[in-house]
Amino acid sequence: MKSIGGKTSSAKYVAYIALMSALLIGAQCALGFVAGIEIVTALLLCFAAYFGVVCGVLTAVSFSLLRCFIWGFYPPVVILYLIYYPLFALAFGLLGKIKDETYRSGKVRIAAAVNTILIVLASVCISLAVSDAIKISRLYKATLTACLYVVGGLCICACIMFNVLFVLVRHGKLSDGRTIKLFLLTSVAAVCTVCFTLLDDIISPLMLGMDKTSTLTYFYISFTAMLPQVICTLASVPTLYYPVTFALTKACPKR
Amino acid sequence: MKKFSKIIAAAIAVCTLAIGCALVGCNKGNGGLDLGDGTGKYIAKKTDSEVVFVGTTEVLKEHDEYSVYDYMTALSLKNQLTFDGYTGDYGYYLTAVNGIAGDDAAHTYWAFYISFTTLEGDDAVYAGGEYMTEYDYEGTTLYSANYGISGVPYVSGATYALVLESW
Repeated sequence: MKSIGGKTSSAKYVAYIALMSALLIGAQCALGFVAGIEIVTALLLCFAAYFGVVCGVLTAVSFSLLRCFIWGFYPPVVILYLIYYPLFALAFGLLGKIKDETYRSGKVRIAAAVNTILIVLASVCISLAVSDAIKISRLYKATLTACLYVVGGLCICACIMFNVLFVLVRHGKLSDGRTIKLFLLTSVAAVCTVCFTLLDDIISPLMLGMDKTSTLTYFYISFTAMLPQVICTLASVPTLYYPVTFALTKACPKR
Repeated sequence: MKKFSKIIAAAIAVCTLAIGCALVGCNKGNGGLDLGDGTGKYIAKKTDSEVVFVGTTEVLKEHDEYSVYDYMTALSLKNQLTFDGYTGDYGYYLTAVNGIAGDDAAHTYWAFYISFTTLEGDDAVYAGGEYMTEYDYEGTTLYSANYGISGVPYVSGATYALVLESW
């Protein structure tokens, strides 16, 4: 427990991990009936960013295994969760280490990272929508195209907003680096959500022994699940990050 | 300025949440089906574990946006068939037909077969592949579908089969 300070007892951290795992399972249970809507990403992100890599990864592993008692032990899902969520917690545990001062000073590296992520995501979505490259059932086509345009549009808007704020920070007209931080976290979370589905597109066909045609169909259909989740991430992370972090600061102060 | 950026961030979050909810909402809802006047004379229940039906406008008028799920809903509205399942991220998961449920413990599930692999004017592959299985119904060969019942379009004249199989 070296990386989590050493001032609060390990027992307390174990309790926090258990509590957070229960909260994540509860959140997944509560929203499980609404396709495409989930807040596990936002909650685990806040927890990992606040408590650091070790707590975040342990929570991710605990959540990935315990949820199987409710939804069943399906090998492709277990493997997917055990790979994805610990890596997700690792990424945000490391991002959480970046000091607020770094955001306030307007580091060019942060701007480059956010701009690259948002522009690449927007370009891919709009290219796929315009080129009609996803060979999917005609029943899903309209919704899928709309989702691609929405994600692309949101990324472009976020990119413009971010750059305006970043210029203001660089010129000393805006001293609050919190919004810059929020943009970085949200952008990375959106990419992680895309990676989750892409990882599933590799693991499930491999483990279920799908042939090439079925794998390709599975890949195309996965966009109908991925895009609402990306939209949900783009909404839930900015909405929940500061309230949840504030609640964690009050409930679990790091002395 | 600090307050201004907070308001903008909150506004973006609320807008994206509203758009997301609207899109999810758009993806649902199979009410308001354009039902036909007949009662589905083409439905054939072979056994408890095999149900075959041929799409007909007597049950449901043909519309581009109708799926086999809609057709089965129309059949159930006409008391020809009952089915159960749930909507997941990848569409509708069929769990039971006419009261007979697939059972994970017994390794059984409802397989879905269709009489076409592609449709004209459509670039999706609805059935096919190296491991595709076939099902024969009175001389018509049906193919295991690559989509669930909510992803396959309802086509008048096409044959569909639901078969309880083991895995």
